[in-house]
Amino acid sequence: MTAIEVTDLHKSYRSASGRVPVFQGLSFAVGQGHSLALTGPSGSGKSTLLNILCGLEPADTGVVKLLGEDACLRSPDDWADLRRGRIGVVFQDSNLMPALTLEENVRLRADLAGQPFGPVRDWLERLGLAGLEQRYPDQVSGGQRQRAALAMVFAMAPDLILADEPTGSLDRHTASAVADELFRWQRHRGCTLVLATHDLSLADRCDQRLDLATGT
Amino acid sequence: MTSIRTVVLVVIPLILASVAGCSGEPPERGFAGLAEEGQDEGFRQPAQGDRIRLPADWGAHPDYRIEWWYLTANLTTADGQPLGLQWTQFRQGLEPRSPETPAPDATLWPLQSAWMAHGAVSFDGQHWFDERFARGDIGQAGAMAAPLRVWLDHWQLTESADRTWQLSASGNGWSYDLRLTPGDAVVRHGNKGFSAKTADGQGSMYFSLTDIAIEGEVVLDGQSHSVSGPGWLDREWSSQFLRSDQRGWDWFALRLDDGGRLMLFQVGDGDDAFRSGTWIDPRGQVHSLAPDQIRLERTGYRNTGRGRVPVRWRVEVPSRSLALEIQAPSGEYWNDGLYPYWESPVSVSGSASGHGYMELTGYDRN
Amino acid sequence: MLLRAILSHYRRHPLQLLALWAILTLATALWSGVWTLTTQARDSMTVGDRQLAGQQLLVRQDGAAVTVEDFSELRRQGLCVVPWLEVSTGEGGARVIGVDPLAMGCADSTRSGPVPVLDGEPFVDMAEAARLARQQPSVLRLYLAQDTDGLPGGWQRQPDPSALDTGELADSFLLNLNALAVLVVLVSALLIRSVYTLGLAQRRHGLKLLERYGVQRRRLRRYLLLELGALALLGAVPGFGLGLVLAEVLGSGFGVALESLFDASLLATPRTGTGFLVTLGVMMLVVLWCGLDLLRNQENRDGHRWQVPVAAGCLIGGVALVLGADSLLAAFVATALLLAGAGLVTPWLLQRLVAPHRDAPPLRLWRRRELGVLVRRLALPLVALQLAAGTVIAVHALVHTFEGTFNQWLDQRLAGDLFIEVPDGKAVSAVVPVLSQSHLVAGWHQVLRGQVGLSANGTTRTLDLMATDTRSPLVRGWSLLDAVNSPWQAVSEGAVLVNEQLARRQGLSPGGALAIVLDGERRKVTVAGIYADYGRPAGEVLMDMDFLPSGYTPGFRSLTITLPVNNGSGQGPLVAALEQAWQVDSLQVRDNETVHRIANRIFRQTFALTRAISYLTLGLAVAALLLTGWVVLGARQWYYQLLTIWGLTGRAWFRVIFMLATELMLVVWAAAVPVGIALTWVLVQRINPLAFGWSLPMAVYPGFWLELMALLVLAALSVAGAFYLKRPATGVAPVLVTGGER
Repeated sequence: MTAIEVTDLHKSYRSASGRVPVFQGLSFAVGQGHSLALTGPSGSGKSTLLNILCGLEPADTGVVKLLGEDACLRSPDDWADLRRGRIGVVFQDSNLMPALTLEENVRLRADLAGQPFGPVRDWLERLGLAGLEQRYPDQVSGGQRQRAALAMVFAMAPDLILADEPTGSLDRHTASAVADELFRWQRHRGCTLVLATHDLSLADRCDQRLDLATGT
Repeated sequence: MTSIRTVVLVVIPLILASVAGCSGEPPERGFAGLAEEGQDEGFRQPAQGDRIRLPADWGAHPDYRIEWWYLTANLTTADGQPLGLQWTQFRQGLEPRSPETPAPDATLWPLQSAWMAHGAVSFDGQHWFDERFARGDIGQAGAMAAPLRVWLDHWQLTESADRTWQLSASGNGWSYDLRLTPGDAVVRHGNKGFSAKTADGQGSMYFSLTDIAIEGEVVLDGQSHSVSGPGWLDREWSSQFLRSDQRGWDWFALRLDDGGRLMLFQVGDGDDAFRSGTWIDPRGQVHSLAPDQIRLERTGYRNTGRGRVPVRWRVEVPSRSLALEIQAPSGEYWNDGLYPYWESPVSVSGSASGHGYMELTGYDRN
Repeated sequence: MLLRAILSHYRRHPLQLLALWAILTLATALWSGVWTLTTQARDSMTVGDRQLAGQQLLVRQDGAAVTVEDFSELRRQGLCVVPWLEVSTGEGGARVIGVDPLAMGCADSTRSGPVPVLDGEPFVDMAEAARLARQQPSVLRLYLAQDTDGLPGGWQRQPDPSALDTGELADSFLLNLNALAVLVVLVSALLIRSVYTLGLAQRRHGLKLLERYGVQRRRLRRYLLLELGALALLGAVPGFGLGLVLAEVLGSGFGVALESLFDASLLATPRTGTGFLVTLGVMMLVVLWCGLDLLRNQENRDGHRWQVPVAAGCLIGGVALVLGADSLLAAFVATALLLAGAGLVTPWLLQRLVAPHRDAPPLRLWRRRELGVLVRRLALPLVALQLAAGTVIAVHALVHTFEGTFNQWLDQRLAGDLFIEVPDGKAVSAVVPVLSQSHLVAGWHQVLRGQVGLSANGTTRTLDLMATDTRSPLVRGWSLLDAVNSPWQAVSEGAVLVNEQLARRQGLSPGGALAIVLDGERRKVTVAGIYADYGRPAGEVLMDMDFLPSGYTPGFRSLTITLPVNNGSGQGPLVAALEQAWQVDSLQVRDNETVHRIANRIFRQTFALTRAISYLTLGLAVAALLLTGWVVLGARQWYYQLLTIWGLTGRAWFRVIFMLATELMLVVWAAAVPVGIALTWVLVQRINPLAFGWSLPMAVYPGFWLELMALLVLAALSVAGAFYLKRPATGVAPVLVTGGER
């Protein structure tokens, strides 16, 4: 069963010198529980594609089938519902509300997704954040922040994770630790993962890889 | 004599106009503009051949634009110190009215004429001055011929039953109460009272009492002084005086120790100046002086708070063998009212000695 | 080059430059406007005082109307009397006043020549007024413009019967206007500083970069100060002009008010040069205060460590001083301390007020925490808005109280329809037959005014005495500040009432005793009550006229008359009948309704001005808060956007932002209300009695608080709406996320 099916996707941006095409007939599919790495140089459309996949940006033309439904037919509110409970999004940085502690951040995300608060502490502990629950994001390291971001995603138990350079701002060691957690959880839960990255070693850990520069 | 009196009176309507909500014209225009505007507003003009009629002409002339009663006196205190004194009352007609027409109803607070009075005392190098204003025809100010009565508020000149006059006035820091005994007959200036003010025959009606015996009391800053001495009263009326190219007035009334008296004035300055005068010889004979009979020269100046003032003059009347030096005493003698002018006693030396008064206008720097 | 680098911030944020300039300009306009107004008002009052000081009405002893002959006669006797011809020109109390500028020269002995100060409406020359007086009702009065020792026979002095003694009410109003001006400066200084420091915080990164490139810090500071100075100048110049326009617009109403109060017109142009220098000076001080941050090396986040103790000190000192103040200066210092304390403690208090419970639902928890951040980041504009809103509340309460009390006082003073002076030498009994004709008169009573001695500490001082028929319903309507049980009953049995001035000065209270001397006769009387008598510095005793000694000669007698309800013919026939009965030419009649109407109009205008100024200040404060709030919200936009990414629908997201903005406004409001109440109390109960010897009743108007709250919520709605409309569609994380404080 396919979790994502994109067919003949077109997308361009308006700029001062006319329309700049980003995608011209992009097609690909990702099976349920599989992982896909999006690679390509900056500006090749990795973030744009992630935005389209979670409904934050519309495509110009083409068909996007998400979790078995035609996503193009969704209203903004339907997309919002989808993001709320079924699609987890992780960015390179700034995933946490600065005025909330790590635990409160995770609780907020779980609450929005309609998940119980019970496992929140477990997730933090399992991600190596035991004892840091009451710290604020600016009181912990970048790696710890990204672990907390993963805890937020894990706590909402999504069907699909969209990760935009989730380890981009971390040192190699920390990055690989965070990636380990992400992949372990994804395999364990059978959740679908789309991961945009520059890091080829990270991309290699995914089941599939789509180079947006070449379209393959 | 004179322009200052004209000018000051011209200013009054401007004040009134501003109160009534109209915009007032600047006084400078009034100074020279009088002659031009004065022709066709229904005021009567003095002319050659007009005569003085007494006692009627001691009273007001509502058919003329301007007139005044002007007393100057060179008095002496009991301990022999000189004391100069001035009292003047002006009338400015705003609307002409023939003498036969009854005065307007006082309850309407009419404004056909405005009155102004000046009082000044010069003593010991100091000068006191005050001025008052009033509207005419409501009883606050006026002038009557017989018995003589000229008044503005409590500044009053009144004739008593014994034909002497009482004069009293008071201001800030000064007051006087005087008894005046008019001397010999009135002096009619110019041609039987018509006194030319320009070369082409414009002028005023002008007569004087040149020898008034005065005694009384002057109080200065609370100190009372008994005074006595001679005074000089001018009576003059007209409707126009100045041509617009004439500037400045210098007027002298001198009393010589030998009994001779000299009045002279100069209108304007330099080559264009118009001079005229009257010589009353010690026997009382009156002689009009033509412009070319008078030489007048400024010989000394004083820097004062309001400008540079010619305080020394040389006067020559060769036909009467007069060569006089005129000198104001030390001090400043500005009548600092609405329109400031210099009014000081003077002493006379040269071919004859004596005292007198000098009025200078057009020297105010402000 | 460096300058360009420094200024590049404004190239990237042109709106911020515009906003800073606008705030500078508006603030300058507001305080220069208020300054101009108060200066004008003060100047006019001084002129009015000088004109009217020592001016007394001169009246004939036989009660006959004065004439132009009387005027001339008095002038010839050396008295400096000035004519005043008042002509009613239509309905609504419109009038024209004839004056004689020529006659006024004697009024000011230090200057010769007429002083035409009474220039323009409603003043005209006597001749014009006299012309109007032929058709319209008019009255000629003679004022004694320079005091004199003796009066001519047949004449006597009299206080102006038409004067309503509103002098002190107006003084009080001016005092409040001054206090208001100071508050305006305070509030706008806070606003300027908040907008500037906000911009500075945004620039810090860029400035640090420049420093790292080798630019000397001192040089950088110099440039920034230069920039600030230039901005201040650019704002001050048009702001000052705008302020003059503001003063012009507001002043036209105000001028009319003063003119009617003091019979002196507002001076056309105040000392504009001085005004500009003062404005510039204040501006420079404010800017210097802004610049202080530049001289500090680091952003001082521990600033509030000393803030709370200092605030507590200010508040405790302020309260102690305000309670114990015995001088106006002390009261003002106390007020300043209280305001400073409130301003310092408010951010700290609000921080605690909005702190959420740990177990709150996560979204509410988030909102509260976010609110905490906003409260901290917007501390300055919040305090400015708090003070502005507090001022508005105080001004509103003050104006309402003033209006209410003033009306009450007017009703008390202007009881009945007509007030008629009893001519000297005439007996009231002569007109009783007229007064008892029911088609002319519905009710009447007599009022006597005179002198009474007060014995205290072995000396006797002279007080005003008012004696009347205290059984009259017109008198019994008076409201008393404090009284024994059934005070009027007590008065009709011989007790007295005293006015507030006297009660304060002598420490009298109802039930106490007073030793008075009437016509040489000593008496001990009971004080039955205290009545408010605004604007009269003199002590006054009120008693029933039945208890006056039989030989007592009052200084002034009057009748208060109520006309029948269905009286179509008005006062005319009655006045004519009275004149006939007393055999006098004319009577001094005051039509109370007209006076009432005029007085009300004057005060409405005056208060409208006060309100306008306070609302303008509030408007400026709201605008500044919205502006700074907008910048702060913008800086944290990413985090608000995260909520969308996390699945909040557009509507739900708007609700959250709106709630956030509303809660922010509500906490300001909550902080402003106590400030407003405290300010009202201090002005009404402390400053006014210290300044004038009388107090106004304290009242609060919760309805108005709600209105103010609605206004603030509306502002929150607008900022939330604007924020909602400009939210970006994409979820791309910005490379550099700023505004990440907690």
